[in-house]
Amino acid sequence: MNLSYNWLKELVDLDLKPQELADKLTHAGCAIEEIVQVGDDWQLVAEVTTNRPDWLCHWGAAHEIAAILGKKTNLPEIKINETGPDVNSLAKVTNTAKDCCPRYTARVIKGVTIKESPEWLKKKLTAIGLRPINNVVDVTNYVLMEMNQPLHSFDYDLLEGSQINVRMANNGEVMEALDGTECKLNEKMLVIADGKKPVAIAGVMGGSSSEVTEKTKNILLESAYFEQKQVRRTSRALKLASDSSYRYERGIDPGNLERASARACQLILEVAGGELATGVIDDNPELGTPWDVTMRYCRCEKILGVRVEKDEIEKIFLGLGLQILNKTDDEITVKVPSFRQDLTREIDLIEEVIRVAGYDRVPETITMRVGMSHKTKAESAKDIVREVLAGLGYFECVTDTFVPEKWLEAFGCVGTPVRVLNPVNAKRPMLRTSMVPSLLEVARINREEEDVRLFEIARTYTGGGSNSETMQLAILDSRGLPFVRGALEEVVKNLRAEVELGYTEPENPPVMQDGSALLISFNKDTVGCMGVVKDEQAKMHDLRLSPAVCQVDFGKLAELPRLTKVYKPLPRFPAIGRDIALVVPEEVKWSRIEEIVRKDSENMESVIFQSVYRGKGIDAGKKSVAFGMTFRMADRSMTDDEGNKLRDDVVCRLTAAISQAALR
Amino acid sequence: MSLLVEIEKLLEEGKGAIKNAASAETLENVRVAYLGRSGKIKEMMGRIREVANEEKKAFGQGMNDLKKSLEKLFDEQKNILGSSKAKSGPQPDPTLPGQSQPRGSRHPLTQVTEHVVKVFERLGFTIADGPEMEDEFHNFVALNIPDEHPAREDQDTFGLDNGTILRSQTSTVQIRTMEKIQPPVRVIAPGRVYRPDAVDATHFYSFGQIEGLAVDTDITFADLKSVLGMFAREMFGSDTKTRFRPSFFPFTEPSAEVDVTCIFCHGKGCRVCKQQGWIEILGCGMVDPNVFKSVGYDPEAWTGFAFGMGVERVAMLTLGVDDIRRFTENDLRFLRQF
Ligand SMILES: [Zn+2]
Repeated sequence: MNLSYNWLKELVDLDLKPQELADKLTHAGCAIEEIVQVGDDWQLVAEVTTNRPDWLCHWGAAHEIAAILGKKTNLPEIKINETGPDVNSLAKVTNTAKDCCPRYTARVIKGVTIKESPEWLKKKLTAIGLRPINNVVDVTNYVLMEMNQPLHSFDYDLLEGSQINVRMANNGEVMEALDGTECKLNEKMLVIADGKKPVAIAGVMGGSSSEVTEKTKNILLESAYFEQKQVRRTSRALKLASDSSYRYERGIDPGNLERASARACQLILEVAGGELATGVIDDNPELGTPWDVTMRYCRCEKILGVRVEKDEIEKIFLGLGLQILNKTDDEITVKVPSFRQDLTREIDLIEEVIRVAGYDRVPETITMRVGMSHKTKAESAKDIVREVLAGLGYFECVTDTFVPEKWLEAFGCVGTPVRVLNPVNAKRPMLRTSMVPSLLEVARINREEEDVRLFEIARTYTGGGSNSETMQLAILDSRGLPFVRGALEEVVKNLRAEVELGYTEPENPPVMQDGSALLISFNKDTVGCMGVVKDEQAKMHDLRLSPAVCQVDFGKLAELPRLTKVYKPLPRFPAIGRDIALVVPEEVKWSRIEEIVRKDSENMESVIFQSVYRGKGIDAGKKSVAFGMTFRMADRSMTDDEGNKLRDDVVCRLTAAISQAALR
Repeated sequence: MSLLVEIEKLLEEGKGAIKNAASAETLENVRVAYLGRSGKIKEMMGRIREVANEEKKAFGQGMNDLKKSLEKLFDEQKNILGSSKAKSGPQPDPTLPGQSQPRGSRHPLTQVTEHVVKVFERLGFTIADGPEMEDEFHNFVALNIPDEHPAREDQDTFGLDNGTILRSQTSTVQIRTMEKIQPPVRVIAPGRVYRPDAVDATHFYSFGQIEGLAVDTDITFADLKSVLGMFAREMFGSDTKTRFRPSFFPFTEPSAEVDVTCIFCHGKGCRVCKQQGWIEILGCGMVDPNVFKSVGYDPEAWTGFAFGMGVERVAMLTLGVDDIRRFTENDLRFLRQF
């Protein structure tokens, strides 16, 4: 909404500069976003919140300014000269859609001269960014900006049967709007029709068939109240909007129709001449009756935390145009005029008190009760996971929830995926079902980097009735699978999770390279997977090398029971270490070797994998696996011989269990 | 075989000579005699031609071991005697650059979120959460935004084919929380929200929001101002001032937008704050009685306040990021800066 500074000055006795006025309005909640100089005037660009449609006009803004400054408004006097015949003898209004149009008024002016508007009127309109058209149309636009009442002028002689029928459109009816749009109407749309056809889409736009042109001699002026939802739906359905529909959607003052109509007639007679018919057609003069609201002083103080004295409250209400009906020691009852549709409850009045008194009046004193906050397991786990992974050199990512459809196909999807009905980016219409492609996309963005380590904690989504969101932890590492696995294990360790962390090799992993995939389980419950992504999927993301990835159900990770920290005495006797390099056939996996080594091993403290060697000195089809073992006894030191014996036992077990296994 | 025996002999001989060297000079002479350019080891190496082919490997290995053993003994003896001359051989270089062992980082949006959340945690607020796939009731109706309310105009949502919508505000968590627990309530709810906005440097169709809610018997607008004032000073610096301007949100009344003094010019006026000296940082207000009614709280018995802020907005301001898309791009060169 654009407000003209000069116009407001005519309505309130102002001694503020444009910027000062803007500040005052902004502090009352009518945010002035910008001030633009237009000739000798200033345009104040206001962002009007949806609860205050009364600010969408100059009289409304003037009212507010007067209330804030404690001044009176000087609104122009509305005076009309009804010298023509009875309006009822000239036109007939039938309203068969009272639900959508609770009140319709019409006046008729005969013998107008359509021409350019006088300078003062054109200047007023251009100052707020409107283009002058002709004197009659300009007056209706002017009154709209003055009093927030949408008006429509029809060429009276082009109305078939001199009739106005307010009715729902018939399915398939067609009307050309003023802007040339061909509108296909249906029974859910409210129209203004003459004896034969629709001549306006109620509250949205007039039709070109009865448009006011230079040839127009007689006009019928509509001032009506159309229901908010009705106008919004129609405007949406037809993709047609106007200054009128904007205001009807937000709600206009139903008690203002007759006054605005008279004001427009006064101005039309002044700028276009003619003779005003006597009387007004009005099918519901009662609409817009003021209502009562009561406010308790104690409630006001309880909400605001500051006392505003009764006298001051009274003054504020009067300034806003509320009429005081009753006062007691405890409460005050006011009559609310129909232009303040937002004031219906006690809390609405409390807001008015502090809005006008100023939010600065509320002190910064805290009286609310306090209490300890507590962290859920999931929240504390997030903190630990982020700390550990960042410490290990991983960068946290925040990626897009929306993904391309082909990502779902390529990466497999458990459950029904969810589709966005109105995506902003048409290439990404789905909610993600896996975090892996999201991190691969980040890897692509960073493909010039040698070492890419990423993680993200975010949700995946499934639909199909069992709509669910699962928080996931995903890790990506360009250095390979052992790093991803090590990172995950470090996370579990730092969570002090009491868990049996298991890995199994799946039959046909859809995402990972054959032989690289592992399903991850907590206490035998599968919670995720890891592996090296398939080459074709890496290629889909323009990656030369396939990184290793891991995805784990974060909720399950976070909810694992946590071990408390309890001191364990340090061992008193030294450990003894023995290394083994074992040559085995390629297909023998480390997990098999480790299982054999650990089985029935007395005094074994740890088994640590060291390296795999292939090449010189090792036959093709074989590999040398080196690992270290630590042995320790609780009650005494171990001798070298005992260590050797234990190592030899391990070697015996290995060579017995694995065919073709031999020491290197 | 005789040469291998000779290697053994040479080793014993050398060991003796090194052990017996009583001064650095003597030791150096021994080194030259055994390990020098024309020393005994070099001489022995020259005799490889006498070795049968199949034994060449063993000879080489033996010589290698011999050389290593003597070098080691020599170094040990030298340490015992103390070096009398200028150092020779490898020397430490403390001016070498440090070995890079880079840490990763939390995402800048996480860092800002955690910063905000921690301030409220210290004030006794507990973290709460809710689903992103929401229904109209929690996203709108319960928040006093009935069907076709003009406020919905400003806030379109993403519809989903499973009959839900993506939440357009974390205010949904207010409802989810109050449905679950009875007052007193003090929660802080960070989360992602979605709005079908066209993407540009300051708009993205999903972003982080942080919502706060407090409900108790005697919470007032003064409490709201205090809590947010403390937050602003903790977040943006102890000299930060706040300004509350009337505004409108369907789920609070009275409602306010909160400005803080510009963190760059401290209120003097600069490019960032468009010469205003103030920067809008959050929206807030007293919980509307209709919201209490929708969750079955008695509006006469309870009062409360709620507030909400955009994470990206705060992050862009405090970190000086000029394009919102940087956050979801995750370029490591960007992430490493935080
Ligand atoms: Zn500034």
